Amino acid sequence: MPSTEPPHAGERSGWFATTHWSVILSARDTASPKGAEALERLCRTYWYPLYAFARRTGAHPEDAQDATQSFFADLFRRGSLQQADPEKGRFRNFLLVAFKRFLANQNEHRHAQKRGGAGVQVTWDTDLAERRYQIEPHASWPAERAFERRWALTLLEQTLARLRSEWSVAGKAGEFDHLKGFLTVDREPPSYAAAAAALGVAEGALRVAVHRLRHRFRELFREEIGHTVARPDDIDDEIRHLLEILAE
Amino acid sequence: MNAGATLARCPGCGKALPADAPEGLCPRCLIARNLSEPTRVAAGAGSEPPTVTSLPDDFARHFPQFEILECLGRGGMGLVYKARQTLLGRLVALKILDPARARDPQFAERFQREAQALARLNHPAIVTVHEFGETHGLFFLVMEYVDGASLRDVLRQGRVPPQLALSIVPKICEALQFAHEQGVVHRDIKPENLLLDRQGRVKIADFGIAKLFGEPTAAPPLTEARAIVGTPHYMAPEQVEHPQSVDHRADIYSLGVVFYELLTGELPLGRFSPPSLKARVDHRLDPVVLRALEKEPTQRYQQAADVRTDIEFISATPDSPPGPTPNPSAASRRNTATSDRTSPSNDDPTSALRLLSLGLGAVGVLNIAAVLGALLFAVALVLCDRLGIDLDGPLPEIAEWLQDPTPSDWRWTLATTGFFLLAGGGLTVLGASRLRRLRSYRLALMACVIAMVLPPALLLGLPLGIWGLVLLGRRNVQARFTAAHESQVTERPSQCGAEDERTRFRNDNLRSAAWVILVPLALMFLTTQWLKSEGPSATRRRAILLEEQLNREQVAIAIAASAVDRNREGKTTATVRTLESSPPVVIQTLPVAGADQVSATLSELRVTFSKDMKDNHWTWAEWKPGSLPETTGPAKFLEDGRTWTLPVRLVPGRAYAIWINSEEKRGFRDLRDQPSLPYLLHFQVVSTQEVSP
Repeated sequence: MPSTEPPHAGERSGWFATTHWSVILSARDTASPKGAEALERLCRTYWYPLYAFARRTGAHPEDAQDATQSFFADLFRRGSLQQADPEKGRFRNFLLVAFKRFLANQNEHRHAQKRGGAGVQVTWDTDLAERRYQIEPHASWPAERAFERRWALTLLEQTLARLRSEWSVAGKAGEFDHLKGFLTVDREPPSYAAAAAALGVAEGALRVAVHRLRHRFRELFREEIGHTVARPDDIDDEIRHLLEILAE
Repeated sequence: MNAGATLARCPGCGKALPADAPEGLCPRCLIARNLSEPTRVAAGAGSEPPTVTSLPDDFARHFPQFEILECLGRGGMGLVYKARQTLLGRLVALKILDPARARDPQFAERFQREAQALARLNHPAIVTVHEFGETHGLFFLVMEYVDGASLRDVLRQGRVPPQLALSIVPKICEALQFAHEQGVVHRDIKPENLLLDRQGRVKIADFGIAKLFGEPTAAPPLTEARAIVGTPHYMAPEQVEHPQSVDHRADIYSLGVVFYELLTGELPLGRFSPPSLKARVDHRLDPVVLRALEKEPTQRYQQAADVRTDIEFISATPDSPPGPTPNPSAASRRNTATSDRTSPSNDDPTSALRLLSLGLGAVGVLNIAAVLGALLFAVALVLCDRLGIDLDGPLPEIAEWLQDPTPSDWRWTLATTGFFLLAGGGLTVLGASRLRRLRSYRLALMACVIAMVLPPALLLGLPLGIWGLVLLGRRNVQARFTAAHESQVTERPSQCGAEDERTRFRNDNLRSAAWVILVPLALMFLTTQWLKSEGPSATRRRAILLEEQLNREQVAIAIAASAVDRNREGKTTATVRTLESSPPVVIQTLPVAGADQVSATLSELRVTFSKDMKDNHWTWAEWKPGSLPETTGPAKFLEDGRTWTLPVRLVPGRAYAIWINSEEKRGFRDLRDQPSLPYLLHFQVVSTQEVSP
């Protein structure tokens, strides 16, 4: 487990998780390509919570998309990262605070964009974003809370997508579909015996597979969160926070 | 909430799944069930609780032949890493023993000796030791990497089906037998050390590692109190009490604990029940598990292979097979009933026994309730009576009957019946409760018999009792009683021996039965005594009052009659008018009623009524045959209109009793045709001897 290990083994062992966010933080002064790449990856993953936040604060779909895209462009171009505080250490917090500030000064930022923002462009399917937004429950929630919930779900989506792709690569996409249900239950149902029969394996083997799936899910989820915090030590705190958000 | 947001529910927490749930899975449960608990080190060889173990920061450079990939676990004995042997390109589990615990000067020698023995253990169900050695003061073992999960991980997902346990345990037995034959004892068999690979095949890890550090429970230095090797719940008693004399049978005990846990999901702690009482498990496994868990190594299975044989026999044959019981366990060996008869039924008797116990309990309670109800009714009736509360219908009579102060057989009969019903009901309930916990076969039998004969609940009790006797007659049921009894006797953490414990059990049953008999006895006795105490009842007192009042009325009528006499010529008074509607009564007789000195010379009886009577109606009826004197002529009606005479011949010394109007015959009537109240004229004629002087 990456986080439980002493961070001494160096790059060779591969268990010292270098978080994207920590790369960004360390790179913020130099605007290195590595930092930009890490930021792009994060933004590509977490744009939707910001979009949802913008929508929740009353923006039209087009405006929300516009604002989100401008925000990212600005982030890359201007090095807003200077404002990030490594001690506070949450990409989630940073992104929301920065976005709120951006929205408040939106006119200025629009202007800036019109001048021609250089750097990375993050694009996405607008229609899809809006469709997703429409099925979100709790329309009455405050925008911050909706953002945090959406953030947690995005992390989970990301984790599950990686998990699925790993199983697909191993040629076990069908098995994944049968097993994923066991991620959310401690006891039967769903029935282990039924799943084992459906997959044509022994129940003992199925239970091992479920255990492996949960183990891998845990690893990947922690890894995903690891990308958004400054230090591996923060992962457990962040997990607790996400759980609180979702428990509401 | 948006429409369509509650299409489905999470099977884990039961809450509605949000429409945007990732992969259709409840986001809350995804995190809560996989990540909220403290991060566990999972998979791989063992996951003991973390200890103070620490390795030098740069330990990896001491193992240049490995690419260290991941820490699989850390525990009392050291750390386990998943690593790649760079030259061979194979994955291995690299176990580095706790340097702090390897400081013992004799450790190196012991390590060498033990590791050699381990490296010889080449068995498909034992994690292979590829290599071992020491580098820069770090002792390490290179072991086969098992890509799977430990049995502990599997157990965390919920109780495993018995079939899984039955497929795993024999494999473990086989591997243990193999190791024991090589002279290697594991000493720390527990779910954490039993690994399942991706195909579900079991492999035992950490063989003999415990021994490297000396005896598991040899008092560890105080500073290492947390580093006790071995896991208390899985350790055989002798591992605690006599660590020096531990042999391969300790592994069989630990295996018994694992087996019990696999079957029931619980540890066999304290006074535990046989597996089949805890879970839907073939009851024939009870003696196997219990024998593996015998406290005394000599009573245990002596070879792991025997456990395997018994389990495989049970798996391969249907319940209650013909032929001798396959498990010569401590329980079944003592069971003289173990014979070679085929049991009539193959099904698991657990639910049948439960049903029988419930039914018998109900029958017992019905009986008790019936008697107590009747008793309460009687007491309430008598209390009402004594407190002077008015009762209707036949109730006052019953109340009086109940309180009859004279010694009476019927009341004792009733009390005895009540006692039998009450005690019988109590014994039925006692038997049912003992049956439920499989604690006393005899009491259970008795309950069935009593249920069949006790009347109030007989309708239910008779078929139930017969069924119960059939059920209890089954050999597998008897065996279960024996097994449960043995386990309760032997597993009790008691200082005294099993024999004492058995006696204690028997005494306990006897004591309960005695109470059940004595309490109804006392109850019925006291109630009966109370009923007949406190003298006459209110009804009785009222009856006496009524009698006195009647007497007074008769006197009053007589007085009134004389008043009528006086007023015969004059006006009738209001009293007379009232009296006219009352029936006539006898006011004077000759001889006087009750006289015992009547002369035999009296030749005529005389009766005077309180009113004018009709002259052609009369009834002189005998009280009983022969009690009427011989008449010497017809009865005469005198002129006063109220007096009749009857000429008779009296015999000296005889007693006579004549009804002047009886209840049945009412000849004497007044002018309004009202019959006179019946009057018994009885008297005794003096004998001649008495007269002559």
